[in-house]
Amino acid sequence: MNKKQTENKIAESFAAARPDVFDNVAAQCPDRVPAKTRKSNVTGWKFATCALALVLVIAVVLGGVGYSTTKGALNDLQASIGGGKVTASVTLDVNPSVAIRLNDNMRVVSVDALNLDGKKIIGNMDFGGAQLEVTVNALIGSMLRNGKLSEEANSVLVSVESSSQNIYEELSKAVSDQIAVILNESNIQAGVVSQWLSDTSDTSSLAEQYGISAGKAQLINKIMQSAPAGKYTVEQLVSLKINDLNLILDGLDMPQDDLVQNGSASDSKYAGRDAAITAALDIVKAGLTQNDVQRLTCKMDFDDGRMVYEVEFVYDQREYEVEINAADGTVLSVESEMQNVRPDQTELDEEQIKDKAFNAAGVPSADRDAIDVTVKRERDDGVTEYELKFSYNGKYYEFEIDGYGNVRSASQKEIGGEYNSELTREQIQSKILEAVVKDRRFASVTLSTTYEWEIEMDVERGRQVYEAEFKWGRYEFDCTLDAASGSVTFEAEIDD
Amino acid sequence: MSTYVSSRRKLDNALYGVANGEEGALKALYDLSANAVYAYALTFTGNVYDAQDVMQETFIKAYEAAPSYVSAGKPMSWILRIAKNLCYDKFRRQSRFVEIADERLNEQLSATDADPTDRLVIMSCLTELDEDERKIVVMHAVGGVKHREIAAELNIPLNTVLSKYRRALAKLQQILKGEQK
Repeated sequence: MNKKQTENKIAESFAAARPDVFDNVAAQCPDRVPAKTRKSNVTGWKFATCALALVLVIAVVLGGVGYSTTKGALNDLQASIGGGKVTASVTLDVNPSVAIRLNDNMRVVSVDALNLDGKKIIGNMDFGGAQLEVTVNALIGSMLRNGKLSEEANSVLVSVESSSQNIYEELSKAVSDQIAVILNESNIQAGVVSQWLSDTSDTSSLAEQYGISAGKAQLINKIMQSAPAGKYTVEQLVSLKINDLNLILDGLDMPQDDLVQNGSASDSKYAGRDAAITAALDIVKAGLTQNDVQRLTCKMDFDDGRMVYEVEFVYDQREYEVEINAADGTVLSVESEMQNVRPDQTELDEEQIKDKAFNAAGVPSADRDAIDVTVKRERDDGVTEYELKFSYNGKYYEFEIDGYGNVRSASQKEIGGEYNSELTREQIQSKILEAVVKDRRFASVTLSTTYEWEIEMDVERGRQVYEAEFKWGRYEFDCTLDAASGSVTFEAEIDD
Repeated sequence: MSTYVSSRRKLDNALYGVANGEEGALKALYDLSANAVYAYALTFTGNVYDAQDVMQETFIKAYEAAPSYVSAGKPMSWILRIAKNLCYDKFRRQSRFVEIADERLNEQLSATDADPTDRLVIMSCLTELDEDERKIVVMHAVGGVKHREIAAELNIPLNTVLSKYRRALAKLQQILKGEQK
């Protein structure tokens, strides 16, 4: 019996023994009212809003026809209210993006879709000559009706392009307030971000490169400038909807001159701040409550390709930073450090830090130069933190030492087999791929067809190993290379 | 693996259907996951009747919690977590989980539709494998949960999960081989 057959037999055996309790389950689960019915009142209102707005738009245009008896007169009327030169524009970004072009009289010249969703939102509506208020009403109504705005996604980015600051201020306030009122009538608390759109080459080229609106491009540029270097990539931010960008904005210290935030972005599709705080407290100590800790903060952020809650607090003289997966509320990482940082003290240099580790490991001075030490450094709360890994005399050491020379953590393990620290990244990749291609399914894998390699050195059960992850087509590989024996284990899964 | 990918989507859809009150969604959820829930509960309880109770309560809890379910691509792990918590609740009053009693379990299994080979497989899973091994085997072989997800759920390294799974499967293959002779 091969592996697959054994797995199937196990599944079949449990299935055969399983009693059927569905009737009992169904009896205890009362029928739910289907979502469509439950939402009918809200949808009806949304439709009414949209329909009303549409009627108003048509009335403006047809009204003009009614008062005019000739084509020439109609043209004159159009020119006086709806035509003319565009002097300002208001872009609404949710995920659908639409731009409302306005003339001197603040009448709509045109409404342009900036993406496919925007096109759907506009549909057959004709806004030429309409008032801005009517147009915003119709567009936001359509976004509600199409599910683009909801309790879970309540954010709208309003970007105003105008040469006049007064016009920007008036338009952004009027539109933001109107959006808040419309959403409020659907029992949704709006989170509106407004900005003055500057026509810079940075913004234009970003918008063009990724096919996004200039407003979203400018917002992304501002986030990139305000966030710590390397924290986000443009690609990551481009992929996020305005609501998630708004959630990130909440955690950043942005100058208010650049952006005005009205209301907060909704995090209701995520686990929620309360659940995140509870999970963070619980992982540090079961039963810990908010009253037991100091300086508790919870911020939403985007890290490693997903939305997370960053919960920070001080407990028992230690500062904790807990990262929670926003999607399901599970704890992703916990970091802590002692509070007693001494900012007046000068930090040691890397060689001095290495000496601290060597001293702790009992490495004689004469042997130190020959040891290959892997050093990672990062800044945290204004202090450099070092992570040092090395092998000496049959043992593998790991140290975490802060810039003042305080040893935060230390570990040592016996190394089984012959320690091999000489492997380069290329050698590791080569050994792993050598094993991978032996599997017939992956016979065509080559280094050049793989991507997103991540390699880390670790010790498992006393043996030094290299843990590697990479992708090939739709597959994601998790591999372990035993540094001493060269044996490779790997698992490949379809990354969906 | 592709089978699992598609069943995962089906399970996601079933959960959303249950949340939205769609007709037939609860049955779909049950059909897609009952075997895994039952087998998983059995690894904790070692008792057919307790496992049946846990299975029933798991689906009622899942029905109640479905509106707050947010897909993270791991619907089976989500359901099995409910089952695990119910097992912990059920046995909280006891100082530790009961040891799986071979004779009693075998007797209980005899009253089910499982044939002698099925019973041998289940008994072997529950009595010949250690606690981690049997959870890993049930989650992967019955529930189709990825090894990586299992590692996260059980809080053990991926490579440990892989090696334990290999070892457990080898043990079971050996037992079944002996039976066939």
